Amino acid sequence: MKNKVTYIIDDDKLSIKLMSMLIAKNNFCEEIISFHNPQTALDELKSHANNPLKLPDVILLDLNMPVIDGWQFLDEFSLVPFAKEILIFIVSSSIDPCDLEMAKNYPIVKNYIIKPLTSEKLKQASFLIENKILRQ
Amino acid sequence: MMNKQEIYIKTAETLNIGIWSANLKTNTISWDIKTREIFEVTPDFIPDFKNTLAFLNRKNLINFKALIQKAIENKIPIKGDFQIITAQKNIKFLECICYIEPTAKEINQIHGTFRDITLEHERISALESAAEKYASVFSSANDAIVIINTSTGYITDCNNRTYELSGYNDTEIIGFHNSLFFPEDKRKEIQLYLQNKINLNTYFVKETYLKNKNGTNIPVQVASGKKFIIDNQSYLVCFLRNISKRKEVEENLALLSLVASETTDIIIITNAEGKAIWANQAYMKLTCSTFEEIIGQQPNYLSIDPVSNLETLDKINQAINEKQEIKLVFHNYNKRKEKYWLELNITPVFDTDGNCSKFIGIGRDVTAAKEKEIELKNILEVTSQQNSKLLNFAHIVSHNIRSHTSNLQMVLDVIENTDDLNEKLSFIDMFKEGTEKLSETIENLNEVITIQKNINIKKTTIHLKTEIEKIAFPFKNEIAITHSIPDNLTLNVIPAYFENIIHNLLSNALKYKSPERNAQLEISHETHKGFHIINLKDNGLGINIAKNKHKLFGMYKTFHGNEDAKGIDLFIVKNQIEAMKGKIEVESQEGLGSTFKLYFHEK
Repeated sequence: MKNKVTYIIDDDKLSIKLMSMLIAKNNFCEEIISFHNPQTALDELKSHANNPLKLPDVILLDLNMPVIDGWQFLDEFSLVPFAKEILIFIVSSSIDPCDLEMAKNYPIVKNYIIKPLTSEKLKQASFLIENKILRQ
Repeated sequence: MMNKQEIYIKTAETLNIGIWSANLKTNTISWDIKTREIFEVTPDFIPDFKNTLAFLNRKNLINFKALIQKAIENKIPIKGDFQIITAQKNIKFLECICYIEPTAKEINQIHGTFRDITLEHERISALESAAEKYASVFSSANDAIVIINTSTGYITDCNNRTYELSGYNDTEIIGFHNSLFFPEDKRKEIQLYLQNKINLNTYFVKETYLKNKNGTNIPVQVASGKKFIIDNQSYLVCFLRNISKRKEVEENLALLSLVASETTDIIIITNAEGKAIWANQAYMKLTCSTFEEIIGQQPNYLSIDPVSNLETLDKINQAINEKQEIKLVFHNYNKRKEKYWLELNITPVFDTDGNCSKFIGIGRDVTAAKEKEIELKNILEVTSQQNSKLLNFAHIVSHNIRSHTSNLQMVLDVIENTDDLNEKLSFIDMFKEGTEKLSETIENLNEVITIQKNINIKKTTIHLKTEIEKIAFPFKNEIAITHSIPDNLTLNVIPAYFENIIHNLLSNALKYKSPERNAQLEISHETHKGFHIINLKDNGLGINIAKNKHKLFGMYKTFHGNEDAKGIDLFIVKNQIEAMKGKIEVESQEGLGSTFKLYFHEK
């Protein structure tokens, strides 16, 4: 099985637009759902926590966001018992070593992708996702 | 011509001697007048073997009988002393001589004389008791006592202490020259000294050393009594006192006093009332005062600056009142009004009854160390500030600038991978958007850097109440602003920054007001540890401090999801107040409101 639904969570609308184009071009997934407010995404996820059909396969998560940032999102996400496994990739422009280090504290984070997102980086992510799904 | 009997009686009268005889055959006793006088009986008293017993107690009676016995056996005159109790109950001492006619074959008659020796006896017993007293002093005195023959210098007697002190026994001392007691190198000097004093016949006291049998030199004090003469020979009494304990104490004291007077630390001793009774050279040097100026005064008299050191003075006074030890480091001034840093320890001294008798103040000039410390602290502060600014800047570059450049890179990537020219052109708008955001961020950063560069900008004094009212005026229709700023309060600030800070906080209060109530803001003032604190307390939405503390004053951080929140204002506010060497803090409760606290230095 392949990656069907991907959430993009990023406060920068331009960034969402560009990432969506790259994803579409590279056949990363079948459907993209984007959120510029992480709280909205979190609410959506929580409401479908028991319904595997309505949950995404992958989340691309920005870190530096208003209201709640990527870390706060992860903290709350970890508390929810989801009906299926959701793979999270951090996609951030931050090259701050503190952030890279911090990401290691979250086992649910599959990888840390540094922006700009490229076709190459998407392919690597796809590879990780396919392996993961195949193994299941 | 007088007969033999008459001569005898006359002689006896002259010599004050009573005559008696006892006839053993007839058992009669005869006393002459003198004897009757001695026994204080009436002239018609007729002594016999019975009534005379009353004059003698048991012990003296035995002695008397023994005497008579002896006289009978040896047939020579025998002398003995007795104590009697007269008829008038007086105690008298009598010397009795009794004899038997040596020619008589049969002993019928005993003759004898009585002489009243009461006075002599008393004199002797007084002498004996005096001698006994002196002997007891001699033997049990604390000092070693040595009697020296002044013409030979030989020791004729000494007491037990002498043996203890010298380690010699009597046979090693008596009959030896007094030089025995003294170390070889002192002997000549001591003999000359002794001779001189003997010639002058004066008392003397001298400190020297005694060499004991083991060869150890013991510090002693030698004191003389006066010479006395027995049988034309003069003697000198010498007292030798072991003063090694005292010497030791003296030496320790001398060392201590050397330390106290020569140390570079200042030392001052006061009485219980805090008035100086002694100070060392270092104290006088440091305070530029003389001994006379210090003694009898409070030690602070010439130094502590009463204006800037009120707190220090209070602490010292409190410690002195409570008789407690205290350690302080403070600014002080000498007589020439020169400032120095003094580290001072004040310790109360208690006597055996637990009463505070003195205070000892020990201090040192720590100006050099203190200045270095302050310099170091300043450098550290500047460095850590610079460091945190650098980190902050790196953070901003990493998060904010990169987010735009990465967008631009992505746009370029998309354009490159598109073959259709029209499609390529459609991406130009995105490129424009990304460029504008990047340029906006750079402008904001520039503003921040300008603020940080301006930390040395000259501050001016503003009248706080007027200024606050002026800035608050445009908000009066939307927020109910009240304040309790004192009328006369002024602040040293960079006015443009101050205005921006207050304006931003008021804007925020408006922007994040609670939809459930009318916006209210209360501005108050307090001082704390050298800071003026201005509190702005609103009743708005509030912030979850626990969750958001780390990003509260960061760049581009917002909390409420408002479209118009740019997340730059508080960041600039923070930089501006820090540029004025102040700080900003916030207390908040979600749903109740926030209090922003602005700290400004008093100076």
